[in-house]
Amino acid sequence: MRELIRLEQRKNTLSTYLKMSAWVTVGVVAMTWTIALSAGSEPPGSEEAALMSSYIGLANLAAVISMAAFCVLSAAMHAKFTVEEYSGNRAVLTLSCPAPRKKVLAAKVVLVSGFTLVAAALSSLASLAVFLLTEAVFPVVHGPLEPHMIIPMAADVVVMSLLAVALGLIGLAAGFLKRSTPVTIIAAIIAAALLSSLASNLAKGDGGHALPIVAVTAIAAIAAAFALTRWISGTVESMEAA
Amino acid sequence: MTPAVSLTNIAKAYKGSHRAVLRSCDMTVRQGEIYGFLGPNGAGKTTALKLMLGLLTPTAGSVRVLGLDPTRQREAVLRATGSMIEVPVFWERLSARANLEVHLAYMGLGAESVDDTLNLVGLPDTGSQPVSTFSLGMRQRLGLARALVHRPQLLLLDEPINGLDPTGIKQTRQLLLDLAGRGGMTIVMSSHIISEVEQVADTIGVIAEGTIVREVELATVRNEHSGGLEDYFFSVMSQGGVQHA
Repeated sequence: MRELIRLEQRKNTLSTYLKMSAWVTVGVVAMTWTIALSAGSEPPGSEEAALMSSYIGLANLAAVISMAAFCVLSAAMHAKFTVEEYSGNRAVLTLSCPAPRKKVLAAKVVLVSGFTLVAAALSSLASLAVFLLTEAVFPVVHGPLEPHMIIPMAADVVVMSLLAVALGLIGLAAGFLKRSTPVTIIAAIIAAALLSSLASNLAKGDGGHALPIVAVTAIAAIAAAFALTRWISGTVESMEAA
Repeated sequence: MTPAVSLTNIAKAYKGSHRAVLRSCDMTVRQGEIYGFLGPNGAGKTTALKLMLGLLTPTAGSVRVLGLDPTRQREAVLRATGSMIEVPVFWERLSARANLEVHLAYMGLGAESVDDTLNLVGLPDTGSQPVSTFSLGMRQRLGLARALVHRPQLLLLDEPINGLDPTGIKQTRQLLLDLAGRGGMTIVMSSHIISEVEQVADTIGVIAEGTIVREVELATVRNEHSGGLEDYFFSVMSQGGVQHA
């Protein structure tokens, strides 16, 4: 499997996706700042104001934005690494590889999902770290940053990164069904929009945090993604290069 | 001796199509020979080649390639065969050398044979040039190189001289004769260029409307048809009432 993953890396350059991950990180920091600065424009005492003016609330929103961005990036990678490789003339090349078809597919999925998980987690942690460092110099959030806040922030990062992986895989399943790159990406955008809306609304209702419910949603999404990946694997095994 | 390829009573219909692309199709390729596969467009040549590679599953009948069942022993068949089906597709951003190295790595093989193979097909100096910049003829040569690089027992070539210049056609012709003659390789080659098939093939198979209508040694064709293979092909087509391309 390691050798198959290495071959996937050789066939497809990851540098483009690394650059995009860096830009997402910059964008998330910028958006976190914008949200924190605009907290004052919300009615005092409202749920929105509470969410936008607390460290945990801002970290949650940043993780949600990061999840949405990496979900779409993951779908774009799945489209390139998998959907295109099993479509049209390229299917003859992919299916002619003298290696077990399920393993070849698994290598593609593991590479993209692993990249998404690590990039999303590192990007979220980096943007959080940059934001908190700037807070030490130019504070925009009123109130102290306390050590007990770190654990829910880190948990948010982990859950949202897993969600980015799962939603990317759901996009892959939709795109694979139609053998279409646009369908892969649009399905991921729709899934990310739904989950982002759910997560941010739950966070508001929870006065800044609703991790357990989001975690359950993430587990459901991961289970769905796992089932869909198994379906793709079964399809590839019996696929014809017509 | 076990035939290199044996198709017995094969039928193939694609999903969602009522029309069978192949029907009651029998074909036998002996080991070590060059089998020229002739037929009009849409007759089923490419479908038959894909069935031999396990890229398609027959609707009915039996396929044996080097004694193996391509549906159940797909990887073993792919390792023992080299193929160039339709327009060859590559990993475009990689060089010719890297494409062959990746192909070999999928089989767990090292890259020792890459340089020799690139020389053999007339692509010795492409360096790090990505395949996306290759001309049609260079891509065709690279497709042939990929089919050969792991030294397979059987070569399945679909229109191998498409896009080649006269020098390339001559080199390919000589290469195929060497591979079969000195290398003992079995070659199945489809082509619309009858004169080329006539210069290399030992046996001719003519397919029309999804069925092999004739399978004959080229020597017999030459003895019985003063106009050679072209005359024979058109006479077979006209007997079957088939419109040819």
